[in-house]
Amino acid sequence: MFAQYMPVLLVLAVASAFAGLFLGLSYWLGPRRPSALKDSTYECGVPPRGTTQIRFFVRFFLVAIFFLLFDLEAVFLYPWVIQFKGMVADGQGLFALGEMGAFVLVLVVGFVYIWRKGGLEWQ
Amino acid sequence: MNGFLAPAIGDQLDALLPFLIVAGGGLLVMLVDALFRTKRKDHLSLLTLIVLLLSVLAQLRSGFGDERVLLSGMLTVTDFSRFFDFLFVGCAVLTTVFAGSAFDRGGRQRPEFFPLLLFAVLGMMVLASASDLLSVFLGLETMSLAVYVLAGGVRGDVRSSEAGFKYLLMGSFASAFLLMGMALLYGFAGGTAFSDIGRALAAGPGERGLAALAGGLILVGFGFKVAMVPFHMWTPDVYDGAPAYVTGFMATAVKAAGFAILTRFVLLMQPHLAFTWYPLLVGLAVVTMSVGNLVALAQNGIKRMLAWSSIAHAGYLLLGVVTLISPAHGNSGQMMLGREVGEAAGSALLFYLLGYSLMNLAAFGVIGALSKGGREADEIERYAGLSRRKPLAAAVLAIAMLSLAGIPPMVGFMSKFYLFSAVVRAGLVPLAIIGVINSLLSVYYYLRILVVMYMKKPEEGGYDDADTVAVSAAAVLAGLILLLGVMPEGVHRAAQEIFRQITF
Repeated sequence: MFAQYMPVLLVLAVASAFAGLFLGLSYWLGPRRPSALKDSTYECGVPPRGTTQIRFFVRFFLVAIFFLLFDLEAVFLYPWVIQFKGMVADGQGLFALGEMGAFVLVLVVGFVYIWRKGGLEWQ
Repeated sequence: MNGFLAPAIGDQLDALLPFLIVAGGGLLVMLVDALFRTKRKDHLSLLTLIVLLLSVLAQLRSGFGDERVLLSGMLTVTDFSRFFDFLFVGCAVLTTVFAGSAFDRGGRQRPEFFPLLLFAVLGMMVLASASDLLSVFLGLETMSLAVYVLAGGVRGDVRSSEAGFKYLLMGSFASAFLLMGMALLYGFAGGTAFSDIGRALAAGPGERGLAALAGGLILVGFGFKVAMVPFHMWTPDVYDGAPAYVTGFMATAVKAAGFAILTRFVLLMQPHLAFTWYPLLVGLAVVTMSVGNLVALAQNGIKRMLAWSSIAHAGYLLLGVVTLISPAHGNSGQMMLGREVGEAAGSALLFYLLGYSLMNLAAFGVIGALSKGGREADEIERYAGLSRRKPLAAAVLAIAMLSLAGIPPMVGFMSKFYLFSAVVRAGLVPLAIIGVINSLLSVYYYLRILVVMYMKKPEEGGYDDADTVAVSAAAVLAGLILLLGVMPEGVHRAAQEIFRQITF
């Protein structure tokens, strides 16, 4: 069984050897003259201000979660849409609609819950 | 209207109904909580109880004795899974009662408790009837995610937050092991259904090593859920930090769910992998019992003590699993003996889980009833003289402790009797001896509670206030402990019947 994976292992070995060789060569041959400016954090070419370890408002996290929630819902809708015509042709249209309805309903309940609980208020 | 159901699902509706009721009920409780804002949250616990009751009725209506394959093989409902469904729902009902009384007494868990409890039960029901690796994972995660939040759900309590966070981190780690094992098993079998795996195992040697490795990784995942040494380190902290009613739920329903899927999985892999799994499980069972009991001896908090005791009980239960797959089965000359032993071990396992749930729920129920204002009644020393201040609570706790220690005429004794006699029948006498020595050890720390409650003089600052509702519910459990201890035959025979249907 492992014989079939030989090409993969070979590619892995060649790739690591190749990358290692050139990284090593540049490390060994390249001149290094560090300066304060060169050693500073790269932030799109602008001089950095302060560290990255700052606190930020917890609501941003909530926004990210909402984005994930509704984004995923949309992602699930796409394959369903593609299958839907075929299922209608098979006479299973209502079933497909009901399944997606149940899925969306669960999300909507969660949404209503968050809304009523005040999770969407910025303050 | 029937067009909404594919013909295949329409036929399965009665068997699916218990799942659908619990799932829909969880959503309904969430909506009711959000839409109707009231000070008191009694209607939520009432609604939760109604949902649980309806799921039991639906279960009863769909009948027993047959095997139903649902959702194109994702779930297989058998009497085995029905037994566990009843156990989960029973634990959830009592947890609802205990939680309701704790909230009345200033417990700070929020109304989210009730939907989360229902979702946890749903995950457990899926887990107990899963017959596909995907539904196993789905059920396990539905249960776990809900329980993580339940453990850490007391707002503003650092210890509860610590418990939830620890459980989440370690649980995710264990889930990663489980997933890796499932992926390997999929690679081995070419399918995720249990039937595919069984077929691939039966087909011939193939890549046995791969299947054994996958089995080991999956064992890590399940071992974490049932608190098996060496995957037990989260248990004391989480059981200690979570409020008592949640701990009672974790120690009973979650552990039972873990053993349901562990048993099912071990039986699936057993005919072909008994020899790789067997020594491993024997070792783990012995270590789990011994570590649990030895560390429990030195605890001063009652919740921490019960956490270690639950590890020890996981060890006894593992003995049952070990007996179930003991190599006696593999020997074709002893096939009859193997069947008998399997039946004895399996029914002992189910009976033990039932008895263990009763006594643990009773113990945690009393602890919760004595807690007040979000402060848990945890210090054993402060139980001094409880027998005089709150005789009923003390008596119920005493019965639970005696039962946990395995003293007749409690159900704990009968559970251990059935279990150890199955172990002896399988010819594993040394294991039975280790088990008995361990339960002797455990008598010390269980009886210590009794000594403190009944023989020590009451001191200042002892617990003296108990919630009537919670204590009455725990008293009903204590009655069941005594009843099943005196008349275990009916339940035990039903458990044997369940395992007679399973093909070994």
